[in-house]
Amino acid sequence: MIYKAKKSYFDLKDDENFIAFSDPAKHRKLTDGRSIEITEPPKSLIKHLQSAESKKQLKEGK
Amino acid sequence: MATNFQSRSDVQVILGTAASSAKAVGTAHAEGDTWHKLQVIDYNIEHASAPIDVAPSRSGIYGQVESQGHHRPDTQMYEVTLTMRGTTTAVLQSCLSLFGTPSSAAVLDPSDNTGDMTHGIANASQFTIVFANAGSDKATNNDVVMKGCFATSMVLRQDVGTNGGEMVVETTFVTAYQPSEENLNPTSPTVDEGSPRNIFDLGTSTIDGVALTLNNFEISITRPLARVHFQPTSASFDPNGYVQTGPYEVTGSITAKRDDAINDIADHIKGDSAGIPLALVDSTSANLNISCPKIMIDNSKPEVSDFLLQTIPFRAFAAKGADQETNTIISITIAN
Repeated sequence: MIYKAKKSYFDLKDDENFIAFSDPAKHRKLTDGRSIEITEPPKSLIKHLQSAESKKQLKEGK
Repeated sequence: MATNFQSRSDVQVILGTAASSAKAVGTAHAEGDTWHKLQVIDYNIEHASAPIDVAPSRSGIYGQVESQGHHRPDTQMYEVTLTMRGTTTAVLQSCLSLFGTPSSAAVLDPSDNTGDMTHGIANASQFTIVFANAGSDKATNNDVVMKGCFATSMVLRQDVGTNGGEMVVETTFVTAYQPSEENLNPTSPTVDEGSPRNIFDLGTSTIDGVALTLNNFEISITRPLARVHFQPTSASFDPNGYVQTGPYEVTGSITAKRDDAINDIADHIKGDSAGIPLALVDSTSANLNISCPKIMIDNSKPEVSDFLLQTIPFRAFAAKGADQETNTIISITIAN
């Protein structure tokens, strides 16, 4: 799935965001306003992310 | 005279990584940190050592004098290459140390790097590599410990003719810190029990959408790293850190059956300076999906075997245009 950061992601501390999962690259991309592709997002972060899949991609995935 | 010896098969390779906390560059992971025991099938090891610089000789003599020799431990970069079965953990841990992401999909774009590699600054991509039982002092200091390691290359390889088609990951790590011999027993390393990806599981192998029948493929991601001088107060000539002196280069080679499909991509083989997509996708795409949106074929040639093959070397780029500094060069989705 492709995700973007919700507003709440920006308020997370470094021991809560993707840096805490040793993934500074994904953290940097999210805080730059870019989308990332994640096979399995960390459970604690799911509520701070929103799908960035286009309608076409979602349809193809069905 | 010592009669003890070291068996190659006794050596266990264990990687200290950053799942729990990023260590400062130059600080070894502690026994209780996160350690991975990957499925290493081949390795080399290093020993604290120093090359010699030789000063010029005076004219009129024809031998070199002791005073001309100078050891230079301050310039050393130690390098080890681990060859591993191509499991998810092996691939993603290599991606973490090479370009800073340990989770699928591991995406490399021109903005990626491994951050601040200054001595003493916490960095998640810095690994400690322990070669347990490789220490030359068998009685007390029986491990070789390499701290401050960063990856400089990762090669993913699959071949129908070797290893039963299993993926092999070959990752090269460098450190400017002297390897030590000590007794470091990582507590409960996570044993990698994953199954390697396999070429026989590939469902899609396409260049520019044209399906190829693969014999083998190899993809390399490399970067140059250099040590930054040394700390004058350090007896072991610790560096001030590292700098990346050039871009990541993503190159590779595919060998495919020479058939109509080769004719279908002939224009790109001839050369058109245009990027085309490469996709290597497992029949279950979540298990393995290697995607390079813009490759250019680099001097492809036929290969004569029992039947004809075509070797297709390539180089991957980020797509040009408005987002060229953040467009994907390579994306690796891998699981299970």
